[in-house]
Amino acid sequence: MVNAITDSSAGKGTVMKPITSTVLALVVSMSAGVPAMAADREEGGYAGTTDEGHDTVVYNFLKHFSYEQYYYSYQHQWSWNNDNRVDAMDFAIFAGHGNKWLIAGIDGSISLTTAGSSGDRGYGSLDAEFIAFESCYVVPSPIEESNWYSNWTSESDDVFDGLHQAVGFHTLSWQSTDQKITNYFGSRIHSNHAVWQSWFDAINARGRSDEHGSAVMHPSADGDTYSSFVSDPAESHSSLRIWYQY
Amino acid sequence: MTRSIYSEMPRLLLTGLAAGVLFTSVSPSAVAQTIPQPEQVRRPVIQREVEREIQRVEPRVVEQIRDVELQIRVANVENIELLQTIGRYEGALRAYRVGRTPSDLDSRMRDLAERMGGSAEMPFNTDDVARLDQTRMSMRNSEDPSAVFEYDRRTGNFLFNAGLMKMRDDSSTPDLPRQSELAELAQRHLQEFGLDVNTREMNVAHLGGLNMAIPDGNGGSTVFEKLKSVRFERVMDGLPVEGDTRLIVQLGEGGSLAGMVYQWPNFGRGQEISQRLMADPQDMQQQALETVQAMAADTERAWLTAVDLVLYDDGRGFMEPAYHVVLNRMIDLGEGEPAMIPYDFYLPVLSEPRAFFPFMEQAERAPENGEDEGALRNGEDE
Repeated sequence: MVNAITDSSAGKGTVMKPITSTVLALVVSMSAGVPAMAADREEGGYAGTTDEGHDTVVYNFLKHFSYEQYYYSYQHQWSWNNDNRVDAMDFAIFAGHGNKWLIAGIDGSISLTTAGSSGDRGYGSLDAEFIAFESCYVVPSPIEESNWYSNWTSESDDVFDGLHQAVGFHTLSWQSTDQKITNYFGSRIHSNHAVWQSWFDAINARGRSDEHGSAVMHPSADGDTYSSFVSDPAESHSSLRIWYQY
Repeated sequence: MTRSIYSEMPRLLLTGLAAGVLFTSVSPSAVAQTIPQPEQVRRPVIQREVEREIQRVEPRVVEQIRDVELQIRVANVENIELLQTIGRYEGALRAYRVGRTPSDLDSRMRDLAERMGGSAEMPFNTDDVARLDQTRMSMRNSEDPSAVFEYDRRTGNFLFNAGLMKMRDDSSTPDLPRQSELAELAQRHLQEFGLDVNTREMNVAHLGGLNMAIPDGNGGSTVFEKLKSVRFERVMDGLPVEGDTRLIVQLGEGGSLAGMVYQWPNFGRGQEISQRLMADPQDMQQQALETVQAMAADTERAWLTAVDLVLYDDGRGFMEPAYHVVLNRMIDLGEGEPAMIPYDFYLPVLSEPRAFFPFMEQAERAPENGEDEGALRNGEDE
C-alpha cells in the first residue's frame, strides 16, 4: 500500500512547513495527489472595521493564497468600482458588521440589493465566482424571509451577474469564532474541496451552536470547487437555490 | 475557595475614598449631570467632568478615581454589574492538556475513514492523505468533492462528511429521523464505531439539520429537508466547555450516518491551578471593562448578557478556565432598523495562559486603506 501525505497548504506564496519525522516515515511521494489550481486565481479580502478584529478574520482566509487585494472595506469596492475590486477577484471575502443583504464598511453600508446598479453591474459580470460574508445575517434563509432570492437576482441592480455562489450566515456570527471559521475555510478552499459544503463544515467545526450558515447559488454551481467550476451563469438568470443550516 | 475582590476591605476603602473625593469635589450641578440616567447623559460630558476632577485631586487616589471614571463611562451598558462576578471562584479550577495521541494515529484514522466511508457507500482514498495545515490531514472521495474525512494529528479530532452531491435533486431525504430520536441515534453511531465518550460529560446543545430551498414561483419557497443533526457540548468540572470541543452527528435516510464532527479530546485529569498562577481579578475586571467600553461605543444600545466562567478548549491541545463575556449591541448600520450585533471575548483566568485564545491571534499584516479608487482591473475571467 502506498501512503502519500501531501502538503496542500503550501500554496502560492506560502512556505511549506518542515515535515516531521513521523510524517516523513509515511511519505512516499510528495507530488502525488497535490490539488492543483487549474489556473491562477485572484483572491481579495475586505475588512469592515478597524478595531474589532475583522482584519484578522479576512487575513485568515487570504493567508492560504498569495492573494491580490487586502483592503479595509469601502462602498466603492462593492458598487460602482467593483470591476476593479470585488469583481476583479475570483474569490472575495468580507468580514464586518452585516444585516440582511447589507454589509457595513468604513465609509458606511452598502446594500447588496442595489449594489449592481452602476455600469460595473453586479458580481460575476467580470470575474467573481465566489463571495463569502463572515458577518451576521447577510444571507437570509427561508426561515427569515420566504422570498430570500429576489434581492439577489431578479432586478437589474442585483449582484448575481454571473456569480456562482455567495456564502454567509442567516443567523448572527460570533467574534470569538469568526477568524477560526475563515482559517478553516481557507485551507479547504485552497485544497479544492467543494465550496459551500466547506463553508458549512467550517461552521460545524469552529462555530458556536447558534451560528448557522447559508449559501445562495445558481443550481448548476452546486458542486463547484475553486479549481473546477461550471461556466458562469447568465447575468439575466433568476434561478437560485439556497442551502442552509438550522 | 470563594474569592472576590469585593470582599477585600482595603479595596473597598480605597474605592470609597476615590468616590468620595470625586463626588465631594464636583459641584452639585455637575453631580446631577454625571450620575443619573444613561440615556440622558452624554459620555463626553461625563468624561470632561471626570478628567477635570482627576487633574485636581491628590495623586495617591488618581488610580482609584480612574476606576470610578471607567465605571461611569460604561454606565450606559446594561447589566455591567455582571463583570463583578469575575474572580469569584466557587471551587478549585483545573487546566488541561491533551494527552499524546497514539503513535499509530494515522493508521487508526485511515481505518476509521474506511469504515465510516464504507457505511455511507462513500469510499475515501486512504492511500492519498493530504495535509491541510500544520496538523490537519484529509482524505477524499474521487467523485464527490464535498465528501471528506479529515483529522488533526495533535488532538485526534476528526470530521467526516459522507458527501452532499447526491442530495442535489429537488426532493427531501426520505425517512429522516424525528427530533426526539436524534440523540439516541447519535449515541448508537458512536458505539458502532468504537468512539468512547463519557456520557456524563455530554449535553445536547442543539437539534437541527440541513435544508435546501428553491423559489416556489409565488414569492415563497419550496423547502427540501436533507439532513438532521444533533450537537453535544461538554461539561467538565461543573463548567461548560467552549472553544473547539463539540460532537456533531448528522443523520440521513433511516437515521444513517451522514456526517460527524468529533472534537472531544482526551484531556486526562488536568492540573489544579494554584492561586499564584491566576490573574489578578481586579486586572481582569479592568480589562473586561475596557473591552466592553470600547465595543459599546457608538451603539444604540448595549447590554451584557453573560459573564460565564467556562473551560476554553483552544483546539491546539490546551484547555484552561476563562470568562466568556457576551455583549449584545444594537448598531445602526445606516439602513433599516438597527441590527443586533453581539461581541464576545474570552478572558483567561491564568496570568500566563498556555491556551491560545482568540484575542491573541493577530493578522500578520494590516489591510491597505480601501479609500483608493484606482484601477486595478484584472480584466480576465478565469
